[in-house]
Amino acid sequence: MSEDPDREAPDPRQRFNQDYAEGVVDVQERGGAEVPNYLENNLVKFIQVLRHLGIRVSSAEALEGLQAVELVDIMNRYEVKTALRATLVKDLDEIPIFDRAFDLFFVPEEKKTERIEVRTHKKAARAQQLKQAEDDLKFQGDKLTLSEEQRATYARLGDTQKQKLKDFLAQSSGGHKVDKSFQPMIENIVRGHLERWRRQMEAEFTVDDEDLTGDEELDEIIEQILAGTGEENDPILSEDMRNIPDKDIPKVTLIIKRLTRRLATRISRRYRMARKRQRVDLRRTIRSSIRYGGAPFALKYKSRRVQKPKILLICDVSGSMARYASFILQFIYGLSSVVRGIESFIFSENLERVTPYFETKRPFEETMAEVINHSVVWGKGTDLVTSLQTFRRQYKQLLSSDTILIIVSDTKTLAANEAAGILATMRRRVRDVIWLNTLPHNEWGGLGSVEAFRRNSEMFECYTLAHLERIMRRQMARRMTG
Amino acid sequence: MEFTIDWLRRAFEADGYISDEDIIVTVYLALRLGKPLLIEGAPGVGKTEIAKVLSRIFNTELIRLQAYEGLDENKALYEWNYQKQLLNIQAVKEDSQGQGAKDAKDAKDAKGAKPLGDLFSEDYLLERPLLKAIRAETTPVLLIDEVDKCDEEFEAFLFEVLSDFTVSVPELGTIAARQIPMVVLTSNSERELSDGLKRRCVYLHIDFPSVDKEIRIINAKVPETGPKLSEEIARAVNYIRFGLEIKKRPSIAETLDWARALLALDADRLTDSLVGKTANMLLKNKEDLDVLEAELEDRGVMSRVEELAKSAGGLAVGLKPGTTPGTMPGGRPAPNLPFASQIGGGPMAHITAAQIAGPQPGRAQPQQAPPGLTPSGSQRPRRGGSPMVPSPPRRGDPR
Repeated sequence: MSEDPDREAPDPRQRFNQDYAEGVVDVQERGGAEVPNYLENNLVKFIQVLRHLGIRVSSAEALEGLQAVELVDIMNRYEVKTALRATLVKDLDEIPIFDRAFDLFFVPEEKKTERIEVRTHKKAARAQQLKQAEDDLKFQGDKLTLSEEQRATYARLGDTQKQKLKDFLAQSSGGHKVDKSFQPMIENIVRGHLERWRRQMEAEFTVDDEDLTGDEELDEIIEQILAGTGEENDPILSEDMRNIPDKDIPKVTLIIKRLTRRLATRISRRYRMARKRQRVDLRRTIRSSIRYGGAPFALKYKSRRVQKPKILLICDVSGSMARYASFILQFIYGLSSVVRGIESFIFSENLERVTPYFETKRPFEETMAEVINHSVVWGKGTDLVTSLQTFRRQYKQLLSSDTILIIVSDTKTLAANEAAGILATMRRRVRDVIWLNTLPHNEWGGLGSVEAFRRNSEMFECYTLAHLERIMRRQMARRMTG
Repeated sequence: MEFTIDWLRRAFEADGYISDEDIIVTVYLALRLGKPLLIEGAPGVGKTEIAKVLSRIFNTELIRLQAYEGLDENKALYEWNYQKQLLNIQAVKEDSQGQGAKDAKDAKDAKGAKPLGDLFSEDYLLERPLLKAIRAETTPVLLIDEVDKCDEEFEAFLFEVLSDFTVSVPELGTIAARQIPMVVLTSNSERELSDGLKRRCVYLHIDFPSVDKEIRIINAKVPETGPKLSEEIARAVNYIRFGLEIKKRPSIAETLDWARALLALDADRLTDSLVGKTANMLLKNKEDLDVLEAELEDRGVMSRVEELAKSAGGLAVGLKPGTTPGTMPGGRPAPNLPFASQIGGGPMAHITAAQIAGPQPGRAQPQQAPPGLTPSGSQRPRRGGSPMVPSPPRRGDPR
């Protein structure tokens, strides 16, 4: 729209816009601190923060946000916030993130400077700690070869843990007949140690550098928000199932119910949609048109039949896996309305069929308790070969081309290669083999068993409820449309 | 007609719709930007009602399209009246045959024989809600209810229509809207909506009301309840909604039904036994009722409610873990002046002392923004005030 004729001097904002439009100013240059505090500029920065926080804001939406801000009272924080929220955020889950970002981003100038100072401080401290880590972790006076991440882990350890590591190094350095050739071994031990700590701390939170923008001011906000978002969503969803305390089990049961119900409706919608792809049934159309004297008054359609898959679940219930098994069993049974049948087995030293327990309509907790009480294999060691052989001998007829075989296990079994061989023969007789591996993905690398089984199945990392939900959603959806 | 947020707020109030400030601001923006308004929220929080209120306060037609699975263009946009076309063909055919026989006798009838005419003309066009909204004489309110229920293909089609409001009917040509309808879409978030649709909409999420708001709603809709009882009802409902692990949280409509039921029982205050007796007005499935019953036996609901009310210091029980931040239970907050510099309305130096000294608590008076804050320095919002923002094509005023 045209400018107001009665405007005396072009205001700074107008000039900025003109510069921008004419390309006088390189956009890149505007990232720096010397860019004044303009509305558009701040908005663009704010949107950048949102994007780094995982909120997808398109340029069209950004423009709309600007239009919206101009429509409300710019002096009123609440209205501006509402306006931006309505135009930039389109998802309920993203609203809390937006709100925090807004509150952190739009603050008085003094606060901003203060924040940057704190951040520079923190950064310096962090560098100092890394340096310290390097100095601390020495074997016979030589620095250990550790990754940046491992050093950072060390820096974040408590003093007692640090001391323990240092003591260990000091002791081993001075050991009898210990020379330089021991260094790789010592390094491995230290790495293993740090790795374990890192995993434990990861549950708390770390920021990936990829999430950051490089702009100090924005990064500070992003870090602050990311650090807090873990608590926003239900933490149980991203908790390792093994670590869920007993007192939370009723809550988990409820969450699983909710998740599966939602997933089941979603899947059944897919069925109906797949069935809807229909074409005209000529025979029936002509037949029904006879009564109208041959005029095809109403068209008749025929639709495709969609076959629901069967699920065959084989769950590892050896000592470390038992907790996963009970959650996953519950989850899979929550989907029973959208599959044609579920056959379930548990195994450790050998295999047991548990399907009959689940056929009665009782609360899941009771059924599960009964399974555990009656099972002779619950909590024993893992022997997948014997288990699969038992399966092949007694239940071979359950394998069919519309069955999805789901195996839940951490792959740590005796004779993995042999077991993989059996799995390969089973695979030919089913539609798909999905392997839910309860080991985190980053631990797969060193394990031969993972490699062996991976060749014969689609393997997914699955140690939290969130993983489980995502895998089942994707896999089931793919099979519906495919 | 131009209108302000203030006007809209008063209009909503006059219509008896008790709302939060964010609802008003968002609705206002959607209308002013000429964008569809997408409302999400649990069932029974008043999503559909917003469209109805809009149609009443702007005194215009409400065109409703109920989405469901299998809804297709034929039922949403237009359809040729197949039966009527066939009948016409049949009639013309019979006419000409009959006439052929009588031809020699009566030449007059020959003139009466109708020609077939154009079978694809307006006469045979069945208007469905979308086309109706596009061809309406005055700006209508188009309500697309439960849009999450429709299929994804239809959703894609829908956002094409919603983005330019033209429809092309191959036989008739392209029909463009005379004016952009006020579009309201509602969704129960049963399914993720596509990004495309979301991108084209202004988004509003309505949560279950705070205790304070629910009290106001009860007082507005069932005024006989009286202040004491209505507060107790609102608190109890809030507790049942968020304090108990239930499947289906009671909606506002159910709260109101409950209030009426309690009135019918001549209750003047809420007790555990009354809650137990009337619980089926609120909870509609056995498992939830069992939960409530267990709670009543266990520690009692009302004592717990009072406890919470006390600890919350009067109004607004902070029971819900994820209450939408920014929702102001107690009306709108006072304008925050230094905020102008935070959002970047220009350097602080532009704001004169007089302006700082005179913040208006209400919105009755438009605040004088410092130069450089709004495009024209005036409160009245204009479209496309700055060259950076391409002005949207003028599609007629929302009014």
